[in-house]
Amino acid sequence: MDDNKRMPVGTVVGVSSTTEFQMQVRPDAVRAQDLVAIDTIEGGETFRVWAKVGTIERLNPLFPREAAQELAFQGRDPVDSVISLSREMITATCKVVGVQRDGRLEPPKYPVQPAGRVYVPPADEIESFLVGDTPEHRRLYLGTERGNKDVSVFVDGHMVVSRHLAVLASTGAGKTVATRKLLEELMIKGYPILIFDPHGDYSGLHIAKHTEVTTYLPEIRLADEEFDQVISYIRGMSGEAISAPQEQLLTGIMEVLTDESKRSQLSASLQDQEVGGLQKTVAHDHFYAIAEIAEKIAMLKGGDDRAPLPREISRLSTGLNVQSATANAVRRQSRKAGWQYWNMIKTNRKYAAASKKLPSGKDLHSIIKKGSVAIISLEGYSDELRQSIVAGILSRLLSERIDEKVPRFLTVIEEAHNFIPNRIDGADAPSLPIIKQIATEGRKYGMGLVFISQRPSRIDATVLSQANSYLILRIVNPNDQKYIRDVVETMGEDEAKALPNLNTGEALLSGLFTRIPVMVKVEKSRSEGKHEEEDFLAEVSAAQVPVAAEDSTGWSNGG
Amino acid sequence: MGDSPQHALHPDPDLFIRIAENALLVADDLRQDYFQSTLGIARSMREGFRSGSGKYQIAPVAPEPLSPCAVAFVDGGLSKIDVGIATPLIVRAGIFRVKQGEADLEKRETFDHFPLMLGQLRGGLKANSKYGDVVRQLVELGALVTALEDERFSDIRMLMLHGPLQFVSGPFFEHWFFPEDYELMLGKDERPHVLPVLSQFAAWCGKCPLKGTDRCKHDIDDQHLPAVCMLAFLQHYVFARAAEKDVLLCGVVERSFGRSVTRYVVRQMLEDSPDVFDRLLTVLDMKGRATNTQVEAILDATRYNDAILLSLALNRGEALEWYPVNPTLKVQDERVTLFPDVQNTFVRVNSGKYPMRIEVSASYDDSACGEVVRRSYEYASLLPGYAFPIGLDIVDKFAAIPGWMTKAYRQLILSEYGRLLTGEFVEMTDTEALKSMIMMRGSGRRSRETRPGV
Repeated sequence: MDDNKRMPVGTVVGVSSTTEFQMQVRPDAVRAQDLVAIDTIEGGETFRVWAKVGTIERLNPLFPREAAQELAFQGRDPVDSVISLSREMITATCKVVGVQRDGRLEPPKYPVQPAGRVYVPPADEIESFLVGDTPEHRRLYLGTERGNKDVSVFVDGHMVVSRHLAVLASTGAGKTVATRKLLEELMIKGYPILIFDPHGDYSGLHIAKHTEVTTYLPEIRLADEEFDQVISYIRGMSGEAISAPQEQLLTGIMEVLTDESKRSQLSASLQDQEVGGLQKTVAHDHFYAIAEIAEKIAMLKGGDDRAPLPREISRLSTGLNVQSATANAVRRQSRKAGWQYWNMIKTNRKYAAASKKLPSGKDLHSIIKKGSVAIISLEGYSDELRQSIVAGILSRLLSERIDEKVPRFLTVIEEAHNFIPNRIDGADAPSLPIIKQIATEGRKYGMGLVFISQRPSRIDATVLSQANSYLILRIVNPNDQKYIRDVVETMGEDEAKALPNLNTGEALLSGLFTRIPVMVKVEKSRSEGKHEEEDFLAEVSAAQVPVAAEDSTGWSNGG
Repeated sequence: MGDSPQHALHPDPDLFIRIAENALLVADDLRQDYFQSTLGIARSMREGFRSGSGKYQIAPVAPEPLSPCAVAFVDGGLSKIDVGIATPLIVRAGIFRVKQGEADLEKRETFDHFPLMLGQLRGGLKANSKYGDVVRQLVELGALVTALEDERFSDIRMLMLHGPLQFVSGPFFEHWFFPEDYELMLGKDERPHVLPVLSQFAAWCGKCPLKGTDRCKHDIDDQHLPAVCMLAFLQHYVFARAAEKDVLLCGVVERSFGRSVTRYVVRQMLEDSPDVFDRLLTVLDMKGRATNTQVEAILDATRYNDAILLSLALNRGEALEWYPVNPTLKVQDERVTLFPDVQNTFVRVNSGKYPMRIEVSASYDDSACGEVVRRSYEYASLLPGYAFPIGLDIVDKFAAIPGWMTKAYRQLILSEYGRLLTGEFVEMTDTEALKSMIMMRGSGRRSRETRPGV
């Protein structure tokens, strides 16, 4: 160790323990969460003790509050008085990280020496300490240490893909950019990645040169869905409650629509009854096909609800025999769902340009390949629909993975609180059970997860606690801070306190993918999202003459 | 009625409590009259001061703002440890210089301190209760000399000492030291100006009016240099140097329990309105005695002093007219005349606190005296709860011996005692101990000596 490269920052004072010590600090020498070191002698040998700077207190003991109050009353600058302003005491509390012995990091067994000299080691030594024994091929570069731009920070990629990572931050703190940076590093390694992208944040990954990045457009295939799922869609997209008779009719209609022979018989019978045959199919017209049948039944029942449906119709499904009001309600709900769905599809297609249609169930495994990234575009869809889509895809892929039909892959879930909500916010989300299953069992099948959320407290605690690594950026919401503190075992009190004050792009890395919790300034990703911060007003200004200017022209012309 | 003593006490609950406490300490048979006579004296003082008829007068502190300047504040500290008997251990004097209006902190402020282990001194009567105070006085004077001689303090307009400029007390006159003791006390090893200053002592002695007395000859033969001679010499020296450098030198006393003003007022009242003390003199069995005797009896019995009575007499923002200090009233030794003459005043900063007493050289004119009062008042007004110049509060904290240092040194001494008891040979000088102390205190400019704990 070269003493000349060490930057002395302070001196140990007071009572030191095996877990923490205090030091008096040179002004401006350290910042909260910086890594520092102090040498300790054990058994005649010198070892390095690593510590993290926690809270830093700054006090001028010669500047009484009383005097400050008087100066305020008098409207005077303290500089113009005879009060001392120079003798500040800066005290930093440092948490001991461990003792480095032969490259290994061990818990300290003896406190550091009072009056010991605390220093910042040279950048290469910090870097090498942070990396530890992580093999070169597993390292993912994320950025530089927050307090020392000369220290590159790497995480253990194996721990990201084989276990689960939570990326948590308030809106605008840089979580998506940080995730993209991480993914870009994984893409260089060629690891298969599946991304559920509700906002087009990952569209920029297409710029990758050596990786095949494909955006897939998922669509509902009602004919392949369980009837309960179809009812769930209609409930969600129409925004109406579905009564028991309505459920009965919907089930009946789906029985007919998914059986071509029954559908033909119904169409013929409806023609016989002079209400016209069926024009729409579930494959082509989705919810409108349901609405069409409901409408016909309403017409048949319109005259007299007490009269049963003709036998050739009612024998197709007992569920079809309902009152006209029920049929009308189902017609209305199905149309609403259909309208909503087509709007979503339209939006998704608009944003997910150059996208491919998501392969159907049996071919779904084809999207997971080595050296490729599959982005499932969920833009424009409602939360309920997204949850259903995610649930369907992941259920299928888990099954395929268990059968080893797809390689190991990493799944990235943006807006995770919408897919794995806690009990209060939506315990019935269809995506929750499958993600929970992958979170708890996925490791053995080689399915790693990355959850990304700006509302951690709304994520299911069981799933979040399965994350072994955390990349946490600025968190402002006190509930979220508390939740993170409770759930993330590796997070200390000082680190939690630092979260609201992080700058955009600064993150705390904690958990298995880093040797010790460390603050990092994440390097900006090369790729961008579709909706990066744009200056909307600048765009408008450039495009047209301001209305006020036109008006004033009119006035000058006497108009 | 608005000027009655009761009215004066009304807004001064703190003072009222202090007077009540004082009343508990006077004899039981006097207590009944204590309040009445105290308020009577205060009323007489207020009326006398304001009418301008008596010896003392009051004037408001001039409100005009003063131009910013550089000021140095000096204070000493003394710590004792209890190892069998209470022993003075470390004396320190600190200097805090500040230049008002200077934004660059490096240029704005200068701190310096003089630590001294009393064990380093060979002379002095260490068993005497005033031993520590004598040394502290000398070290403080050494700090004043440094503030006037050291280049780092060359821009000061005012030099303010925490305590009286002329501090004479009977027990001081018994102490003597060897020449090298004075060199240590003034910090010879670190300050090049010390030896040139001390070298003038012999010449000063040569002009001393008491030269040639038996006591003087005896001291010179034994190389015993009386502390009072050195104190007087250094006081003359700093007075002269301050005058040469146009530096205003003053001492400010936080709680002055002298009686000179009170004595004068009580005497005046005995002469002008004796009925106020009629009952008191009867109880004290002093009826018909000489006025001087009656005055002293009243002061002793009632525990009246200037701080208490002037608290009642002065309003906030008022100062007593300057009047000379007469040390011969306190000390009967002829050497008291060696000290330079000083004058003093009382200034009331806060209605709930005692007035502070300020001393300056008797040679100061009205202009210099006025500036001293105004600056002192301005600095004290920043600490209304303390009513004392904040610069002195700062240097007081800076020069204070922290408790942890005293405790640590006590541990060290006890540890050495332990080794001695086990027969182990120990060689530890006070100089080494001092080095250990300074090392423990932390080195560098931003030392932690004012930290409340470790």
